[in-house]
Amino acid sequence: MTDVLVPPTDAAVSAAGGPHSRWAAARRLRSFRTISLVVAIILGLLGLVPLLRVVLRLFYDGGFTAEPLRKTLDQPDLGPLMLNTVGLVVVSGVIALVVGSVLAWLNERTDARMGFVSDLLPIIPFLLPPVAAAVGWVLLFSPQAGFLNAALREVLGTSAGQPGLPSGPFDIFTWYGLVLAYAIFGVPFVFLLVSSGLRGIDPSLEEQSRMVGAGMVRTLFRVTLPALKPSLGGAALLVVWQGLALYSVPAIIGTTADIDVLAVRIVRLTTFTYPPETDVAVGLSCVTVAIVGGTYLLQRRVTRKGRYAVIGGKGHRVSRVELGRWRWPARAVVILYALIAAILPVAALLIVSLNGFWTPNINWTGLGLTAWREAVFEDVATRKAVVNSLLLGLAGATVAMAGAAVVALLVRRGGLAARLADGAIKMPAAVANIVLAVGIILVFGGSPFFLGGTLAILLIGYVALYIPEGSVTADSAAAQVGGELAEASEVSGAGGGRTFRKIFIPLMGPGLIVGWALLFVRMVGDLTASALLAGGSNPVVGRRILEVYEFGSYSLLASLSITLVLITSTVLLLVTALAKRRSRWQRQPALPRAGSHRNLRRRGGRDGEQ
Amino acid sequence: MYASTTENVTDAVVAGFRKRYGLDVEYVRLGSADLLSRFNAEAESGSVAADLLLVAGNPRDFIENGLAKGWLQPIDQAGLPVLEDGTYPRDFLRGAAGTAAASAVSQIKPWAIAYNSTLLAPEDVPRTWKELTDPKYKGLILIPDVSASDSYLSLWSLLLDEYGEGWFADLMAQQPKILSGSVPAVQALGAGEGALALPTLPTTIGPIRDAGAPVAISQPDLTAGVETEVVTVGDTIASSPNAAKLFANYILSAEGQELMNSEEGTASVYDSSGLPAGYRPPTPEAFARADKMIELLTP
Repeated sequence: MTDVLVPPTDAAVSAAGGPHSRWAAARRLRSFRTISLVVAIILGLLGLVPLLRVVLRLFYDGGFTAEPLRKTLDQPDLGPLMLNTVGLVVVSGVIALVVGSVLAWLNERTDARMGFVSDLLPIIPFLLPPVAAAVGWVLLFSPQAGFLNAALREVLGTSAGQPGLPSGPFDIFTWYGLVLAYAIFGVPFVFLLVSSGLRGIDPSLEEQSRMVGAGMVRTLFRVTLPALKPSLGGAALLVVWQGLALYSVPAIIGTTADIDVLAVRIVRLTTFTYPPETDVAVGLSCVTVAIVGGTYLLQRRVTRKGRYAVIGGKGHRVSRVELGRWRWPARAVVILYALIAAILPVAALLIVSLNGFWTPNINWTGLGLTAWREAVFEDVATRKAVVNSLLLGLAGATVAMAGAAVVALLVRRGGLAARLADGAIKMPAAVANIVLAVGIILVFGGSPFFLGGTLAILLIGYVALYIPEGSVTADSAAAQVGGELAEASEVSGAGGGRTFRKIFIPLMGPGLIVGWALLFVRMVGDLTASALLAGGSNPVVGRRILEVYEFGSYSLLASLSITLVLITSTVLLLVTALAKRRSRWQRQPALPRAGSHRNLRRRGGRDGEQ
Repeated sequence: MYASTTENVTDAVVAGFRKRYGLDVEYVRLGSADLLSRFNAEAESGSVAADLLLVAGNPRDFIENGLAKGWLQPIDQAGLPVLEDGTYPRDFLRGAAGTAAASAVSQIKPWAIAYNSTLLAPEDVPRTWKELTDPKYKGLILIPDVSASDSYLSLWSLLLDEYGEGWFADLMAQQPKILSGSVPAVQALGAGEGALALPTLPTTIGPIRDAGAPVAISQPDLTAGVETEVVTVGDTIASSPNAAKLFANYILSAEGQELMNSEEGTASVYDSSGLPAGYRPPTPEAFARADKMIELLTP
């Protein structure tokens, strides 16, 4: 295609011109790769070194010892523990994938969409700190005093025959309760990734499929789902990781349901008594590493095959499927889901925060702001904690996501070093936060860094802990960008850095912004790492929340958590709005120079950077 | 300072100290296990942020290890006037292997039974632990998960000694609901998920009772408790060891003890009238029985 070779700018003209400038371009490309590799290695070491420090301490005791492994295998009920965990993660993961994808499709591709409401609602469970969300469902669905149960018994006039107190009809402390809670936590990941995936796919493909007579279902299976492979693969990976790492939900719901889960066992081993059984905790973490590693390889196979649709040079315009008489039933499903997953739990928390304590017999006239005053308005430490957490979230998410994007592109080009660094970056996902936090203190707390108790050590901790999630999102985003654009850019003489800035960043934009949002929320709400890393003069929100959960009351927990949700959802709303604008680059050119999209079209889908 | 005591109490003691000596104390509040892990990791990395520890649960092994490595110093060798002039009762000094007095108790909280006063008539409220196996409490008992914290072990171990394994089997036959911690247990009690929550500390009940929840405390005579100990950090690694010792001395003085034990259900070492007659301090044996107790208390 010759027109690629006639871009009007000087740089590109000279790029097409002589061997000297081609050489310069190649050198720029190489230096960008070198810088990327250095970034990847630093990020990989950030988590790996602390981890090795902990592991080394365990396995090397004057000589190498296999004692930790033996103790791990000696854990009582290791079999049921594994089975419970894997069963829970897989079943809830499948539910989350289906529900999240359906919600995303309804929101992105049909007229069932309800503006920003349907953008935000499915994500709310993710904005709540898991401990608050779990408490929210307990408040609603506890068999005796759950708000919803008490209300239903009132309406139905029934009570099931448990010994003691009237109970039912629902019971959160069961397998189904726990599976649904896990699924609700997985849905936001799927929803966010699939939504950004859908925004990246040219809907005209789906339109064409329907026009040639394929029905909606056939189009879904033959066109949409294959194109969504990278997003679905990334989402599945995140759901599995998240499921394995989720601690508060199984601790609060699973303990009462008598369902033992790996994450809870690992944390208990490290926090029950002194000395902590870090050796067994790390041993069990190895199991998590194996499961996560397996899903990671599976996901890479999916994204590497390359037989899915990618963003080519062509612009596209979103047109929505008209659901007709199914429009309102579809909306009803979305609303019902939002009610159970987000609105009711938050409402339950709000009521408890205003009432001062949890009771199904609420005195509506006696509600007040005592808990809010105590935990939020009049608490200097909380205000300071909010500011610290916001700053850390903004800085941490930006650093981690920029790094993750660079690494994702590096890995795309292959190379052993890149793949190793990528593995190291994703590794912390498989390890209990608390173990990594101890390692970070060991490495960065003392000589030569002396960062103990500073905001810097928190930042390092957050980046190391949460970059795996950013990295998966970046991989999905990178996988959606066709190689042709980058090739065109490089052929035209742009260096790697320039191609990265002007091609990948804009095209990966929606995915990267989603990843940024994920990381921001995670960092602002982090509980475990903060407990070990935050200093006395540097409080963060997660520590305050953990404190009121461990020593305070549900009303304080509720008021703090709702405050956190309000803050994070505001940030997230701004960010999704930005993501939407980005994704419409065919109408509001977000590509580097004005008019470039016109050239894109004329060139029949090939993009040369101008 | 790293402290596992409640914020209200810690703030009160810090304020009292500031008023008396004009010195400020900055502290981080942590659960006992987190506190010990954090201090350990920091000490190992050579950069400790705390000059004094206030810790509950079972710090025996921690203290022994810390003394051996020079991270901590025995409190009776720290030169605290209240210890040297005999003001502080030596019965409340706690040892570690090879050291008679490694740390000093600064707060005692006896374990009690919390009940929901709308669900239980006054005459039905249990007065002893033994009564809990009475069939009338079937399905009404809430128990914080014993594997969540080692501080519950002092009580359960005492009850195992007193009533034997059979009593535990009877207790589990009551179909108690196990909750993930003491706050969830007490909150559920207030809501009426159960009528009894145990073992409970009165300090956990305070916030929701003051907010109007129908909860109250029944204090059995025979009981164990949670003791918070003052642990002094080694002079070489503390950043202001003298100020820390002054503060430790203040906590253990009569004035400090009064502030430290101003909350309901806490007893000072100077006033044993706040303690139930049958109070037994936690023993090292109790903590060594963790696996056994977890087994007995798992449904």
